[in-house]
Amino acid sequence: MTVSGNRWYLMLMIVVGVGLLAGVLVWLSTPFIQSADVVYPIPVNNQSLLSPLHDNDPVLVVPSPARLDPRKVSLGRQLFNDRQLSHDNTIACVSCHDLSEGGVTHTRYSYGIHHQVGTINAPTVFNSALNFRYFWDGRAPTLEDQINGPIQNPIEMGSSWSEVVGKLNQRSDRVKQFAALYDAGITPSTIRDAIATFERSLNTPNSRFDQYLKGDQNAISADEKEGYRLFRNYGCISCHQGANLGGNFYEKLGISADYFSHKRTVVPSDYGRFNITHIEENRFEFKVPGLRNVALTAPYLHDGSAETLPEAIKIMAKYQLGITMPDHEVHLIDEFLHTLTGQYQGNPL
Amino acid sequence: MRKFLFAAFGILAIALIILVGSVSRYERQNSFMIRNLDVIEQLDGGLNLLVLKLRYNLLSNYDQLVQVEAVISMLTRQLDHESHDFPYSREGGDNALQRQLEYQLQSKIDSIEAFKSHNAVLKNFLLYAPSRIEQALDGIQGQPQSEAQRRLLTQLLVEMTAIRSHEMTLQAVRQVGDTVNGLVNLCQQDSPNERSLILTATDISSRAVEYAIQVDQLSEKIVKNDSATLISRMSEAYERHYDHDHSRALFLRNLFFILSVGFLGVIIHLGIRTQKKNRELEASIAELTQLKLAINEHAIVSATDVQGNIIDLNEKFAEISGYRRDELLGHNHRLIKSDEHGADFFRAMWRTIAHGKVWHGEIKNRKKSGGHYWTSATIVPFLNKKGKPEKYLSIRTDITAIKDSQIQIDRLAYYDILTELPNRHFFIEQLDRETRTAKRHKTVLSLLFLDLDFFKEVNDTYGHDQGDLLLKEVALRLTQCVRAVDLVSRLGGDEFTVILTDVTQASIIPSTQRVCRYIINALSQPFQIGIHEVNISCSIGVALFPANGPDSASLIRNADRAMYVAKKQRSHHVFYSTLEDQDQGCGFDLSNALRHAITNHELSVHYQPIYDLQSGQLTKAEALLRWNNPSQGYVSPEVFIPIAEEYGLIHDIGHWVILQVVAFLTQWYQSHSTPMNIALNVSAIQFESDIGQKLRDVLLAANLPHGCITLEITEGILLRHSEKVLQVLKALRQEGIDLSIDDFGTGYSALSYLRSFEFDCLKIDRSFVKDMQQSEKSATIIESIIQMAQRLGIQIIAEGIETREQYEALRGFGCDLGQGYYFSPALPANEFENLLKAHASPMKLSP
Repeated sequence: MTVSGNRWYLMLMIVVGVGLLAGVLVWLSTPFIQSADVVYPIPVNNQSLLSPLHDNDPVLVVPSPARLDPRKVSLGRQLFNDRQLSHDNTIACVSCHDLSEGGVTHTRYSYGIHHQVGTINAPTVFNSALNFRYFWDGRAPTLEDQINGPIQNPIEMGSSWSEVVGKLNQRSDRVKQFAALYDAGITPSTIRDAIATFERSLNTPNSRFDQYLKGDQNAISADEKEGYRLFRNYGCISCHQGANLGGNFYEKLGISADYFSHKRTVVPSDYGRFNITHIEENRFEFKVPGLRNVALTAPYLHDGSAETLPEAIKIMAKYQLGITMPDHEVHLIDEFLHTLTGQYQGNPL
Repeated sequence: MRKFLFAAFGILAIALIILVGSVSRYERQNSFMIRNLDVIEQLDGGLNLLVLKLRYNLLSNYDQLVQVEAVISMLTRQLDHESHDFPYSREGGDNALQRQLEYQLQSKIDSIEAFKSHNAVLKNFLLYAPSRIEQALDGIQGQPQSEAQRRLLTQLLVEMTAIRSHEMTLQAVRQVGDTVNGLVNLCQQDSPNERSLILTATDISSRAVEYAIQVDQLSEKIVKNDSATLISRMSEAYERHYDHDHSRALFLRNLFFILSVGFLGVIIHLGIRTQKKNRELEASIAELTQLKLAINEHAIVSATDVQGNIIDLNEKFAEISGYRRDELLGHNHRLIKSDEHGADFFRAMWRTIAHGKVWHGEIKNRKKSGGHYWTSATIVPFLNKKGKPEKYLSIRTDITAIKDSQIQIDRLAYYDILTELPNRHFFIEQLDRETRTAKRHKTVLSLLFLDLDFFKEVNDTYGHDQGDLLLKEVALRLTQCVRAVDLVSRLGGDEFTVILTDVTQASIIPSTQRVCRYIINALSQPFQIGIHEVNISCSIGVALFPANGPDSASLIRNADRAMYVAKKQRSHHVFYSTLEDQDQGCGFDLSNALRHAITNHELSVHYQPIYDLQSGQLTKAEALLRWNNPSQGYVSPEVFIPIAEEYGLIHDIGHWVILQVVAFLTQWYQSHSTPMNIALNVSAIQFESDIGQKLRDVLLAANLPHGCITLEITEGILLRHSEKVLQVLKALRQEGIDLSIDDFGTGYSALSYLRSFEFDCLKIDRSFVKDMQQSEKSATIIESIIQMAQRLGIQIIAEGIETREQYEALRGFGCDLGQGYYFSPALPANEFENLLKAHASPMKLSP
């Protein structure tokens, strides 16, 4: 008979009905707005941003790296060292940002694939998370955006995202690593995320100067203290401030004198921020470089024209302040700048 | 209906889910937007604050500013991203607001960037300027204008310091300009070294002022940026949407809730109803299954299509019809048709069921073996939606046994069991019919009454068995002597009648005479009965219609009288007409003698005792009238009662009998004080006068208890005078008089009167008792009559018990009472009284 069939149908209908009602009841019992927090968390506590803490300290200590997924950091590190990211598998990120060499290479410009020479001095990757924008002209707002640059620059890694993704997909270990971390697997954005995550782990806290800032008077010598005083009195500190001693705004190179007048030729990379905004005011404006670990990152300036730190200090004094700084003061400031070398993974760089 | 309900609910629910879902998504987006704008607004204020702090040296690094900028730009990007698929942004001016806000925020960020670089330079100069001024102060020691220069340099130092924490007003700018000009003018006289120191200081200171002116302009631009207004306008817009949405969502939510509850209610309601229906259905199915089983056990069930082809049948059908299932399936129902019913019968049946009506009837069907069976059939048409039959269900019960006994009973009623000739009732009815027909058509007929001579001697010599065989042979010969249209019947005993019809007025006498001769001749031939050769003869009385009587009753009487004369004269046949010619007074004499019989004390009442067959008690008696005529000797009641009825003497005689019986009962009751029951025979004629009243009067005078008198009535009385007689009988019965049916089984046996009237007694006709030893059928009939009477609660009396075997058999059948020669003949009153006295104390029946 269809009686039993009817009974099943009926039970099903009752279950569906009860489920529906239960669902509605649960839904009724939850307030409307809450879900917004879950879907779109606002990442920063705005209160702390406006707090007066450390307000008048021009230099802040380097924070330890944020808490990051160690597997992503590890994958990012491998990608950072992976030459497959370049078109001819010769260049990795690490080629120009050697972590054992202060996150740079000590050449004026970096070499890309086919031994091509770049047009601008590579900055260090250490403490790059503390920068407000990336590249000398600040064209990349985030680390992730920055990664697009070298990979696709024909004179750097000379590759493309489709090429990189294709190559990585041929390696089963990479496929597995990505699959474990990302639902999407290997994509430009997951590659960028992994590398950027690794780069965010590259803070170098606990420099001697940071120890001094934290109150250890003996962390730096008297000369170094004197150097810091000069650094402040000359007003260097008005630009090189914050945790990274710079890296948080643009400034014109040549405030007090025309820096580029002594150069034989002015190349487009010298125009700095102008290349992005095309506003005359921004011509020769560069992101103020952070001075953390500066003693390790020679040569200096966007064009790598200053081979030593004292040289760079003198150039700064001449073109920014319009003075000639006495050598002993340059020396003292140089001394001070050496205290900014921090620690990576617990060891001094 | 239910499907529609579900579908409607389903569509409604889906529509609502989609609607609510979209609303809640927009609502989520909306609330995100509002919150986002909230945060942006706060951060925007924070930016202003930070800018001012930086300008007035309350803050010395850009990290916080950068972080806030980053968050704002991220939130702005999110806002932009969200608004792309956010309908509210596209309606009205929200999108324009959004664009404006983005533009304002971007220009603010640009201004902040400019502010940062200018502010850094300003800071740099302000940090560096004091040391330059101090160097200049040191350099001018001991110079003539040194006092004025020192004052101005100090003034410059103060003014530089003021720039750090004060806005660069026009007045302040002018003051610094004055100071710088003063110093520049004064240093013209100074040595180049000192002049250079002072110029460095003134140069730095002038540039600081320049930057300070720019920084102040930028910070004012930043702070006055109307992003805040835009944000609040946007927030308001979104809040409006939110409120609108919120109320809509609330409405929908409540609606949805109500609908859900309603839906659930409907489901539960349907569930309960279905459950209930299911239970009912299951119960019905169980009941139907049982019913079907029961029907299949009892009835023949078959289904046919509209053409009568069998499409289904049960086992019972196959079993009874003798066909296999597959021999019936698909075949037309005509297969089992018998010849019993004519075409009209089936036409009527088909007309009924084809019109969608139920047909009832009795059908005789043919078995495969050729035998027949009777069924009581009900054919139910199953109608389609148009009201036309689409198939027929036939339910039949096997009534062959009933039908057979019905036929048997019919036969018993109209035929003599022994000879299989029509019996007295058949004869009387037939004669009635024939006389009426003859009267109508003015034709003639003759009636022959025939009595065997020496039959009693045959019986006495060879026994009843041989007598019966003789009777059968006589019947056979008689039928051979007449044409098919003529009717030979046996009245009882050795009396036969013949009705000759289809004769002309002219030929009636010769034909009748010829038939008489044939008969006499045929019966005078010796009969071979068993091993014996028997010779008998017969006497025939003839009455002609209409010459010898205007109706059947008179015709019978006259034929009987003629036969009587023939017997007496020992002539073989006598015509009544001749009888009338030569002895007109025969019938008259008898009636005249009867007229004086009461006064001459020629009549007497005899009593035949009736015994309880089970206990042997003498419980009743039947009163029987006897006439002892001085010239005729004992005259049989069969002769004089019809005469008494004809001449109206029956009323007086009947009354006299009643008085006799009541007197006897009264005397008995007074001397023994135990009541006694006497049965009286009542003639139909007596009901024409007021017998009831007479009886009542007599009984009232006698003061007898109830139950002393039983009236014995023949079936004929009930049938002929039904309504009036029934009234009288009912009244009598209420007076305490018992009623008994006499000669049961020989009459019409239309059992309907048993249903319509309550009788106390039923008397089985002597002919059954007489035949029961020879005839299985008679025995069966007696048995069934007894069983029937027992069921109906009617006492049963067997009359004419002549042998021990009959007594034993009847007793075995459970017959209540019995009378007959085996126990006792009818006795004169004094003898009966003696017998009664002997039985007064309980004693075993030992006749």
